Amino acid sequence: MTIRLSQRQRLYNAVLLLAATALLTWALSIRVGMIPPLGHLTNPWQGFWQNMERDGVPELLMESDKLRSTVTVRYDERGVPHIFADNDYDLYFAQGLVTARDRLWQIDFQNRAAAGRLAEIIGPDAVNYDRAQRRLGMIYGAEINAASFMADPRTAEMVQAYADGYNAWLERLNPKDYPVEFKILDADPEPFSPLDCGLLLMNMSQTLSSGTRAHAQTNARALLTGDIYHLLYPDELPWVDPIIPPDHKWNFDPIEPPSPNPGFVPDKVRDLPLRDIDPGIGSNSWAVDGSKTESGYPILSNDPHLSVTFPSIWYEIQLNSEGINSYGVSLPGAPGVIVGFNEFLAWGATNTGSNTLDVFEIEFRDESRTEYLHDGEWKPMRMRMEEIHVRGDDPVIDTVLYTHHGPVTQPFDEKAAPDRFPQGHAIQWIAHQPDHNVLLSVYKYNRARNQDEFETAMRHFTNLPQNITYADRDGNISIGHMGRFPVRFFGQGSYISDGRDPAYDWNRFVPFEHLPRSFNPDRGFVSSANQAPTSREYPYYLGRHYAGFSRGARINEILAGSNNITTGFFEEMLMDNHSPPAEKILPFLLSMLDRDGSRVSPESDRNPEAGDGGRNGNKDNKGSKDRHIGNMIADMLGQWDYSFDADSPIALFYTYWESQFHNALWDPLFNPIDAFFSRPDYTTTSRLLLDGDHHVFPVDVRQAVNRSFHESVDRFVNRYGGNPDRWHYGRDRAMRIGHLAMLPGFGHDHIVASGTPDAINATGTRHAPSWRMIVELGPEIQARGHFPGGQSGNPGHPGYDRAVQDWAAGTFHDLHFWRSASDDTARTTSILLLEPAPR
Amino acid sequence: MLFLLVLFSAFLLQFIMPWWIVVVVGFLTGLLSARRPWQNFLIVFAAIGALWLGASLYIAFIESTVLLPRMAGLLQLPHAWMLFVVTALTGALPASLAALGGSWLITRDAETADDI
Repeated sequence: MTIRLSQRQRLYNAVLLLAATALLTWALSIRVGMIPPLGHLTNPWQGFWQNMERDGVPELLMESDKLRSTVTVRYDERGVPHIFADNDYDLYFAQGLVTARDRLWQIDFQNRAAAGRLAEIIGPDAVNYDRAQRRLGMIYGAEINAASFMADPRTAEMVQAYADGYNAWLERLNPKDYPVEFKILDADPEPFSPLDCGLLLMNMSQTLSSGTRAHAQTNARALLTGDIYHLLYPDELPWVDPIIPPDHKWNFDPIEPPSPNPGFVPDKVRDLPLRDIDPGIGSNSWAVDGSKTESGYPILSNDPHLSVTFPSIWYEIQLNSEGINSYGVSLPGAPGVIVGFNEFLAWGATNTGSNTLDVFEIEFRDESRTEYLHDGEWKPMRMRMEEIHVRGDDPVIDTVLYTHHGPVTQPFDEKAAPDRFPQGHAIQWIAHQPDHNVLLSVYKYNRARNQDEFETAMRHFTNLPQNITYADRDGNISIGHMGRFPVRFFGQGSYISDGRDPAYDWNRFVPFEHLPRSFNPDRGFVSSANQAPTSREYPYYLGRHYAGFSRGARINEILAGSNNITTGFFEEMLMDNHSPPAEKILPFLLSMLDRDGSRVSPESDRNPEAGDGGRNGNKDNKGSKDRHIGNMIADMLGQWDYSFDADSPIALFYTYWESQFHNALWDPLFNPIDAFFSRPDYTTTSRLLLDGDHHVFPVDVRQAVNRSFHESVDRFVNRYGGNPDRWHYGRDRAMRIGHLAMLPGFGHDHIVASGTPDAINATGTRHAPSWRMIVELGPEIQARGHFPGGQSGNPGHPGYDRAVQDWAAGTFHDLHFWRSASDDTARTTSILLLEPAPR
Repeated sequence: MLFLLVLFSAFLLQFIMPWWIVVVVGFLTGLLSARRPWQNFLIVFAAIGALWLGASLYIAFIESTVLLPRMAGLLQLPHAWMLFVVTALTGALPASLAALGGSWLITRDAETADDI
């Protein structure tokens, strides 16, 4: 067919088509919502195709006029950089450079997220998140941190060199070389400044030490009668074996805490939603001395459990220069080795539940909120302007009020996104305190040659409180509850504090010499798994929200009963899936279970919404089938060894039942209470059940056991079918490791892994062992380890997620610890040579 | 011949210009080529499509392809191979539409109208 068009029509069509084409071209060049700019992204010359890399690390020679002499970086077969420099500046310059080479986007994104600057790249959806970060004082704290580490010449040089190295890498990139996430989000990387290092430290503080249950605990105390409250929330959790053995003698005169005004009753917190608190993160670390090992040398183990993501939170590295030869994992965005070892000693860390963030009730003078009451005086509020830039929108200005304690975290007009803290309250947080320089501690312990030097380094380990495990080649082991902790009266900080009363101020701190420590204990081992650091005999009050007995008790039981220990034994121990809490309570639950179904029949007592209601055929048949499956499951539980092995058919059912059972027990008590609270700990509940304190429960325990069991059977069978041959804990629980920015497709789904948060192999759904390390401190250090990810942060590199399978399976890798640039060169797979350029 | 000219000029310009240079190449082809508008459209579509497809295939051949299933997941494509199609179309479609528009713009009279 032939169409004849007039010239005018044709011109009109041409202009229309060209306008539409221009519009299409424009639309393909910008990000619309979260749809990436497809033109840029798919273009083979600049888009994601340019991020596809072959395996290994390319050889490279780079020059920089900032370097003082040549630096050799040898990459091993797993892509771990081993840096050989001859002065501090060059060493940390190279660390910044190689970390940027592998993790540029991660560092950029992490720091923006920490600072509350995500709206700049995400858009208006991120404003609430940013606002909450600003109100937590993240940039304020980063400035304080940066002022501290820039005031010491060693850490100032360390951070500046790291930043210079990072920026040297960034400068040589063209936009086509930017990590693919920048292309997807249509953003550009920023240069690294010392403040970014402060933000990284704040990020770690937020992860590790911003937790508080003060307002939840205040509500629980206010809303429950005294007896019930103390039974449900005991000062100490049951069966806990503290980090420092309970028979330890404290030979010092403690500083007396101040006495608060006894009349203070904090207001109940009603403006936060009902929710339970995330059980949070944990870690294990232990060390045994030579008396317990086959070789006669100490062995140390550490597995910090953090939220596991791609790229990994850790970056493996060796730093070798004048006065330092250290290997371990670093945090992308900070210089030094955080957890690892050197030629003389090894160290590990676990987080602590000691109070590090207090919530203060503030009395404002009037609606203007320019003054607040403290120590009988009206004191002026300080104000800090926070300007949040928003992609595609006007900036948002937020004025944050600061008392001398710290920021007033919740705004008065509306809530900032995560409902962390109640309105009208200020927080005081260890991360905001001046004159803390944890990087100086890193600097010193990386270089420490013996216990004394390590001790000196630990004096600076103040604002990221941790339990630090230690072992050295001289045969010593030790553990310490490190950090700076205010001298508190009993209970201080565990409930809402009185912002008017100076007794709640942080004025005096537990002296370093008084911190809970244990050196070379007779039992031949030290360990920590986030449990309480000490028994009640310790003269200072540190807090009350520590991990339950499970992992700590299991570790101590195994270590106490083992001799001739090898690193291989610790590899197996790290993969131990036994759950002590399940062992404690399951026999009781089974004893309460009505096996023939006559007392609580599935029909009469089942929640009608939980089952499939007899849709599949006749009700009587289903009832008897249910009873059959129920009895079979009960039999399987009776034979279960409490081990959350991937191939266990019954472990997942147990987690269903445990959770249903706790809901059945506590819902009637807590659901009617319209306030923010935390439910009793599972182990406290178990203790009440086992000790027969059943009067505290609002329901009949036997009925709750049976009802929850049948509900769980229904749910479980609906979800996983009725054939136990097909039940598989590791597969069915569908563990996944997501991408840091939650980009779909960039995570790793369907990881088949053993473990549970209560086992030593604490592989939960979000938090899991993020690095496992075993170090034997003989004449030649032997170390093994792995983490669930890879050195490369590039999703287009085969190493991005390479170690996930080995991590899940418990396969460890040798960590190559080289003494010099020419040691064991056969294992070098690639070299990066950094040369000083003429200035 | 025109096919090769479009392909090579776009190929060279890609190294120094953003992706939308292919749209400019398409438009100029439409303006300058004496062929019929729909012929220009098809030639530019084929040339830019072949260029982008060829370049992406080449990269996939020499580098690791672990990124492809991830990108497919991100873009909600059921199969990773569809990325090659999406890539070729993203370049070819706007470029060829620009060629058609350019051709229409300079067509002088009704006699050279297209057969559709």
